[in-house]
Parts: sequence; structure tokens; C-alpha cells
Amino acid sequence: MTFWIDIKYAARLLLKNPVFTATSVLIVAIGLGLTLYTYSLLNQLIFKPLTLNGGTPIIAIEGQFRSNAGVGTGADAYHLNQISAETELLHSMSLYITGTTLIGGLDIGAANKKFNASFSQWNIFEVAGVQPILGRGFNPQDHDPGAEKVVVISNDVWQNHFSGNKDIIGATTRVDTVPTRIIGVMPDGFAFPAVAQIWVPLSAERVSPTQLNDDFEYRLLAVARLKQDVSLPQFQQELKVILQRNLLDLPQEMAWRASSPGGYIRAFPFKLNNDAITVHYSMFIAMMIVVMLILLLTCINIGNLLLARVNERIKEVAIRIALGIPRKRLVLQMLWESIFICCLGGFLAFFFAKWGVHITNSVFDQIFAINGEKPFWWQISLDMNAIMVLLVAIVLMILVTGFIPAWRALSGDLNGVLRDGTRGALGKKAGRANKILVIAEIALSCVVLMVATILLSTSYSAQRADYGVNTQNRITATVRLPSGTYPWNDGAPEARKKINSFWYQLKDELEQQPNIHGVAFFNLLPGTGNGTVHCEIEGKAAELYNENPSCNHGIVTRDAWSAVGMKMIAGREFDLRDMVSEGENIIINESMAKHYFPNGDALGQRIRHASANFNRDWQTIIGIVSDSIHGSVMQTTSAQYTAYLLMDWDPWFRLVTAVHYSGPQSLAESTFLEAINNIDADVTAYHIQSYDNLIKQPMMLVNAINTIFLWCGLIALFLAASGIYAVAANSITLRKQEIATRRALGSRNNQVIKLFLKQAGMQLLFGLALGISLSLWLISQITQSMIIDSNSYLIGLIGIPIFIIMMVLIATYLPASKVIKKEPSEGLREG
Amino acid sequence: MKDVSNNKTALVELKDLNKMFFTDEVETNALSNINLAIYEGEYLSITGPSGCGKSTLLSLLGLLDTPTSGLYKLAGHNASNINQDERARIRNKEIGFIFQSFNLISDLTVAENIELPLTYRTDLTKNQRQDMVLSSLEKVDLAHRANHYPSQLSGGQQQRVAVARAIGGKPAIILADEPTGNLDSKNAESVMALLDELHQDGATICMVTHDPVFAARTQRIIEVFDGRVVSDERITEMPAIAV
Ligand SMILES: Nc1ncnc2c1ncn2[C@@H]1O[C@H](COP(=O)(O)OP(=O)(O)O)[C@@H](O)[C@H]1O
Ligand SMILES: [Mg+2]
Repeated sequence: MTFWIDIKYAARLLLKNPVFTATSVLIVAIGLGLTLYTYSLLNQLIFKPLTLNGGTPIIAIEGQFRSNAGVGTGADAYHLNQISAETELLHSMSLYITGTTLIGGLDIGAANKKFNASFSQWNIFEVAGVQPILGRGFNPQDHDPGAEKVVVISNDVWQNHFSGNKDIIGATTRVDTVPTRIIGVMPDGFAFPAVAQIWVPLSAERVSPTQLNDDFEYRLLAVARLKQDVSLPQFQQELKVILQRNLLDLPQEMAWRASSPGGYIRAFPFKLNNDAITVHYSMFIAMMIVVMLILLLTCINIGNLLLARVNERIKEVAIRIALGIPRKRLVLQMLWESIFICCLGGFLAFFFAKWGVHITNSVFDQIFAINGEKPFWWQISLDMNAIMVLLVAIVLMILVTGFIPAWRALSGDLNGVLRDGTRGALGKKAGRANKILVIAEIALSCVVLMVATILLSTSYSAQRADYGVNTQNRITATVRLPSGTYPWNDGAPEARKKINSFWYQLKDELEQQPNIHGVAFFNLLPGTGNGTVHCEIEGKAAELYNENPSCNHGIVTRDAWSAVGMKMIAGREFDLRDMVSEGENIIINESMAKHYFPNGDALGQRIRHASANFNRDWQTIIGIVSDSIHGSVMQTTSAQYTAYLLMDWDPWFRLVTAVHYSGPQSLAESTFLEAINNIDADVTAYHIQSYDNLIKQPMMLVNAINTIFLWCGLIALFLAASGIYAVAANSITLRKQEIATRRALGSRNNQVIKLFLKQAGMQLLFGLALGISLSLWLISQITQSMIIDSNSYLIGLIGIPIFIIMMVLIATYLPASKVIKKEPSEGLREG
Repeated sequence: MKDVSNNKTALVELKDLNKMFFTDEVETNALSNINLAIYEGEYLSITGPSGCGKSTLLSLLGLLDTPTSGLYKLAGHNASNINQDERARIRNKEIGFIFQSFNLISDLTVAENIELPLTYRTDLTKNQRQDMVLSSLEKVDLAHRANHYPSQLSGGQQQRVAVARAIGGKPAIILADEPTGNLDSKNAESVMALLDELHQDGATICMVTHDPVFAARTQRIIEVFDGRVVSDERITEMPAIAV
């Protein structure tokens, strides 16, 4: 019964003050909505282990993530097989490598199309715990040298590329122009390990080599599933032991594997096996911290808003206590208001989060629209776990926000309130709590706003940055030769000649067209890619290979620079002389020349790629080209220094091209595709887009993350502003009588305002000091994977504090000025 | 209004004063048609039932509020339409307040509370202020409590501090709203004795009270009923003043 009275009483209080109620419900909805959204996002992208059908977590077992290369690397398949044979803790393990293939139709001569492929060990589907819906998966015989070439395709490839042909199983298509039998179709949505559209068995030689090998070709990745009740740390421990045993007596040139810092082979959650996640990991963590801070801010705000209301009703509360209300009942009474607000807010939060999830999914689709490399688990939804988290968060919030006002009501000298209206000791305590709240609010909003501003500003300046190339009127595309027609043959001269002649023939053909003015082929175009290797300067070798300076190695055709708007600065361009010279010649860019050879004598000097296990031949510098940057300027892995090697020395079956055109872009695109078709219809071009788009592409994810940060910052701003206003108004309510007394005694209005501004000033000082030092720490964490430009620092470190100072002063001034507009007699009347 | 016998200008003069409050669409006519003059050296009390408008009247006298209509003159000058800061200056210099609930500031010591109004003046040095604080503390017999906080004092002592604060700036008039209302009889007596003494020393005191015994100790009793002055009588004869 009393329950009902309390509920009705709380409801009446809330309805009586609709602005307060709406504000607090909105604050709760935003705080909880953001929490729910971030939880779902991070859980799906990072924290929740990938399990698929098997139930136990799937993990990646790979060579070390090379931060300076920005990618994870494979490991010697020989060692990986040893691990698989000796482990007690793995349920299953499969080797694979990712790549692209060109698939023809069911008729000879049908056009090739590029698909993401997983070249795998036969048991890849066993590890996934998923079997084909049509036909069969692989078996061990598919690896045999003489075995028929087979391929398994995704449901999507079947439906769209093969138009859902009923007789697909057993049909023959061409994979990289090699006739291959289609043996299976996987279920809809299956893209394991991550983005695969087709699955091709590796050769037995690669999947189970009989000896150690240091060749790139024998480096594979592994995906494995843990046994029931085995944790990843347990396996990591076991892995260490196995490696110690197996890396003991390695031949001299592979001895580095034993001493590789962090271990030659690592095991980690499979979801982390993703460049985007690895590169932006610290940003995701920062996001989590920021959201947690915002949740804290939300709690403080709601608690404080409720506190302000108790303060207004303190006399009524005192009377209730005097009349003998049991403490439990009083606390419960106060809780009801929190319960209403938090439940209503939590309900709205669900829809806020749902909306955020919807937007995020479409942003992901947009980001990966061109390269089609969205991992299959990058699809966010609000699952049961998320709902549970929301419910727990609501309960915690009710407790936190209900406790603050209840504590206020039960503590201190309520008799004083009744006797003479002075707040006495109680006012003092509440006043101190208020001060701490304001300081916390200022510090927290300072952290969120600073981090968000600095990140955003950095990402925008990275987009506008000068990458040293002219992107206007340039289209880019990836061009891939089918390995069936252009075999690599261990880089034999004839194979190389055949491949190179294709590239130069395409270049010539295109450049004869009236709307094409230049064509260049790179392994990666300036502005894209990242990663560096160590470069030893002849006569100046560092003691350890990795103490040598680092630079990026680019592959380029002859006569490439003008097509991307770069130019030679000194020395000479690559030409036919470089084709016949012993040893290799090299062209380096201007800042590399300046940095490595400050005396200006770069030309004619020799450098070489240095690494732990081998040294390349010396390369002679024959030219210096204008600067360009590889990779986004905000990434620590981006390269300012690039050395270019001539494409012709190696058989490159896939290159990226930049085509300088005039007239409409669509015409240039069709001219380009036609030229390829004329030379070899089996060669495929894909990822056709403008150069600007290409540069923006890798930043789209960063931008998406930063947009979330921007939202966080705006929310924090809203919370901080409303919170600081509430705290200021609250403390002014508490001191109403004091203010009135001071005014009665002759204090002028601006002296009253000064009194409050002075107090706000002290709190600002503490809050900002705390906030700025926390931000600096957080930013120093972020700078480990990101380069922050000085303008962004300036905006964040100076702009934000000034902004907060203004905001706090306004939030303090408003309620104070409201008080002095009233007659002092009014303040005195309230006892 | 001139004092007939003395030809002296009234210290405070109210003419046709009205005060209305507007709240929740209810109009309260708290004071209507008040005509009143207070002269230097007078010791007067305002009595009447609760809610009749005593405090409102005192607020208007003390420039804590503005009348809805009517004239307010202080020492012959019209004070009805001066700005907030000027009013603050007058309150500070010419008026001393004593409240029912003491209204000491709990974060300040006794001495600091007394010094507070003096710090609002620009013409006093720190030393002058401290001298003034000391002399008013001595007058209320609390010099030994100078560094205590209000919460460490009894109600009677707190109110004596309030009295010291009111007289510290040597105001022209002291306004007290039920100064004994929150005190037991013993403490009430000590505060009243203090006011009597101040009056002996020549202070002008205007006190609101509903206790007829305390009212009887003053020389002039103004009775308010329902926002009007219903009687105004001088009990004790004042030298050179006749009604
Ligand atoms: N600020 C105010 N707002 C509304 N009504 C007021 C206000 N101050 C006083 N009143 C009303 O004016 C009348 C006189 O009040 P007051 O002067 O406090 O009486 P008292 O004689 O008890 O001191 C009362 O009816 C009171 O409710
Ligand atoms: Mg009163």
C-alpha cells in the first residue's frame, strides 16, 4: 500500500517539473544508448571471440605482426605443422593464405572476374564447423600434385556470378585461366576465414613441406579452434614451450627465429587478425574509455539533478524525518524517482543504440563497397548480451543516482534545517560534494572533448594533406594477370619477359589514345599502402640491422612520374640501360636523399635492404625524384622516405595503375578497359576509381571512428554544460540565504557574482589540471599508432580549455544572475 | 511629514505605501496605504498577528524590497527609484539588520561575520575595520569568541553576534525582525537587554515582535493588522516630542 503512495508521489513530482524530467530522461537515454552502442560495436568487432558453429573460440596463429609493415605475416608452414602435431590444446587447425583470383564463366571465353580467395588446407571447413550446402568440401587428396584442380564457391558467387545454375556441382570453370572443377557451394554468408568468396586447395608442397624453408612462398597463416574448456592464455603458454623446443637447432640463416622478440609465432583472437583493427586498436580502446567516462558523467549528472531537487525539498524531508519516517522508506521514496527516470531513459536508449547500429552497418557497407573486404562478422546487432548489459547498467544507474540524494537527505543536521533554516554543517558537506562534482565534470568533459577534437582535427588534416601527387584527372585501378597464362616459373627470364611485355604494351596502347596522357604502374600508388623496411647505407651500417634508417620500397615502371604528377629532381630516370646493368639501380625521393645524405652526394651511393635473416644486393642510387607519402600521414607506419625499384626486374602479376586522362572520367574508364581487352581478354582490372577516392579509402574507417568520437564529444559537451549548470544552480540554491544576507548587509550585485565566479575559477583550475593531464596521457597512448599534427594539438590543448572556461563561467553566471534579479527580501523569507 | 515640535526631518518616511505580491495568480495585498515616519533616536516596535505584513514592512524600510506604489524617503531623500547598487550602498552604510534566524554565515568566524559588511565599503582600511569589529564585539560581550564559528555558539550568542554585525558599521537605523523569535526566554532577555542598551546609547531601533512584553519595553508601538497600520502610540514620553 505505502508502495503505491510513494510511486504516485514520485510520479507527481516528476510530472510537476516536466523540463527537469525530460532533461534527465534524455541524459540517461544518451548515456545508456551510447554505452549499449559501443558495447555492441566493440564486442562484435573485437572482444567477443569468433566461434562459428563449433562453440569454442577460433584463434589465429601467425608470424609476428610487423608494426612497421602494418600487416601480420605468415610463418614457416613447417613450424606450423609441428605445432599442430604436438599441441594438446587445439581442437583443429588449418593453414591458409588469402589472395585474389580471376574466375571465368562456365563457357570458355566468358569474361574473368576478380574474387577474394582463400588458398587453404583441406580441413578449413572442419575448423569452421561449417559444411557446403551443395556438393562436398575438400579432402586430403585434393592437395596431391596430380589431383584434379577443384574449387569451392560461396553462395553469393553461385547466385550472382553463375546465375544460380542448377548444375553447378561438377561443372568446370577457369580459375586464373586454369580449368577447374566446382565441387561445392558454401552456405549464404559464409566467408571464413574473413572475406573469402572462393576456396582453393593449396598444393601439398606448400601445405606440408618436408623441411624448413625461408621462402616467402612457404609462409602461411593458420586458423585454429581451441578444445573445449581451453583458454587462449593456456594455449599461448603451450605454444611457447613447443616453439622453444622446435626452434632449438635451426640452420644459421634461420637462427633469428629463436630470438625473435615476442616470439616467432604468436596466437591471438581471430578477430584481431585484421589490419583495420590492429592499426586502430588504440583508437577503439580510447573510444571505450571515453564512453565509460561519459557514462560516469551521466551518472553524476542525474545524481546531481536529483540532488538539486532534494535540496529544494530539504525542509519537507526534514519534516518527514522529524515525523518518524523509517530511513528505509525514505531512501525508497527517493529511489522511485531514479527508477522512473532510469527505466524510461533505458527504454529510449535501446532505440538510440539501434539507430546507431543501423547507421554503422551502412557505413561499413560503404567503406568496403569498392574492395569488398568487409570481414563477415562486421555486422553489428543488439543481441541478448547487449540487452543484459543494458539492464545491468540501468540497475547500477538507479543505485548510483538514487544513492546520492538519499545520502544527502539522511546525512547532516536536519534539526538545524527545521529549527532555524540554516544549513549549518549539512550545507557545508553538501557544498564540498558539489565542489568535487564540478571538478569531476570539468575534468571528464575536458578529456573527452580534447581527445575527440585532436583526433578529428588530425583525421581531417590527413585528408587534406599533400601526398606529393597530382590526383586531378587521374583514375586508378588494380590490374591482375591470370597465373594460368602468365606463370611465375620461379621468376625465369621468359616468364618475366612475357609479363613485362604485357605491362608495357598496355602502357603504349593507352598512351596512344587521344584522351590518355600518361600511364604508370606501381605496386602501390603514392598516398596508399604503408610500411617500411630497414635500409643500410654502404659504409654506414648500423650495428643491428633494425637500427638502420627505414624507408619504403616502391616498384615502378619506366616513365611513370608524370602520370602521377611527380618529377625527377636530380640524376636520371630508369631506362633500358638499367635492364642490362649488373646489380640493381635505384631512385630515391628527395627527403630520403636529404636525410640520408645531408651533404647532397646521394647520387652514385649504394644502399641495400637489411633484415634479420638476409641482405639484399647493393643498389646504386641513380636518380632523385620528388617526394610523395605512402600511407595516410596520420599513421605512424606511413612512409616519408621511398626508394623505387624498376618493375622490369621481377615478374609482377598484379600492379596498381594511375591513368592521367582528359575529358569525361567514364570515357577514360572505358578506353582503359578496352585497351586491356584488346591485348588479353583474360586480364582483369578492378577497384576502378578516382585517385582522390583511392587516397580517401583507407581513411574512411578512421573517419567513421572519429565521427563516433565527435558524437561522444558533443554528448559530453551537452552533459557537461547541463551538469555544470545544475551544479552551479544547486550550490546557489544551497546558499540562497547566505546570498540574501550578504545583499542585506550591502553587498553589491557584481560582488555577489564575483563570489561565485571566484569559486568556479578555483574549480576550473583543479578540473582543467586534472583533465589536461589525463588527456595528455591518453593522447600519448594514441600517438603510438597515430601521428598527430601540431595544429590539432593547438586546437585541442588551447582551444578546448578556453572553450570549457567560457562554458563554466556562463553556466555559473546564469543562475547567479537569476538570483540577483530578485529582491533580497525573497531570499531571506525562505527559512 | 515634519515633526511638529522638533522641526526635525524624519529619518525614514513612508507615504501612501502599497505592497502587493503576485504568486500563482493570487494577489496578496501585503501592505496598503502605509504612512509612517521614524525619527532619529526612536525605539519602536511593530506588532500584529502572523501574516499581517510586519516583515514585509520591515523589508521595505530596509530597502530589501521595492514598494508597488508610494513614496519612501530616507533622511529627506527620495529612495523609491534608485538603482540596486545604490540601494546596496545605503543598506550597508545606513541600515543594520537583525534577523529572527540570525543569518550568520557558517563558513565565516564570528569576527569575519561582523567584518563582512565593512568589507563592502571602500573607505575603510583593514586596521579600521578590525577596530570596529573589536569594539562592537566588546559591546555585545563576545570578544573572547571572535575566532569561533557560529555553529559553536548558543542561539543567544549567535544573535548577539548578529547584533554586533548590525551595529558594526554605525548605521543610522537598526531593523530587527523578531530578534527573539528563535530564542528561549533567558537568551531572549539578554538580546533585549542589549537592544535597550543600544537605545540608551542613542541608536534608532525598529523591531518587529509579537511579544507584548518586549513591545512594551519600547517607546512607540505600531500595530499592523491585515496590511494596515491600525494604531501608532507612544507609550513612554520622549523628551521634546509630543504627538
Ligand atoms: N515574497 C512573497 N511572495 C508572496 N507572498 C508574500 C511574500 N512575502 C510575504 N507574502 C505574503 O504577504 C503577507 C504578509 O507576510 P509577512 O510580512 O511575512 O507577515 P508577518 O507579519 O508574519 O511577518 C502574507 O500573507 C504572506 O503570505
Ligand atoms: Mg514575519
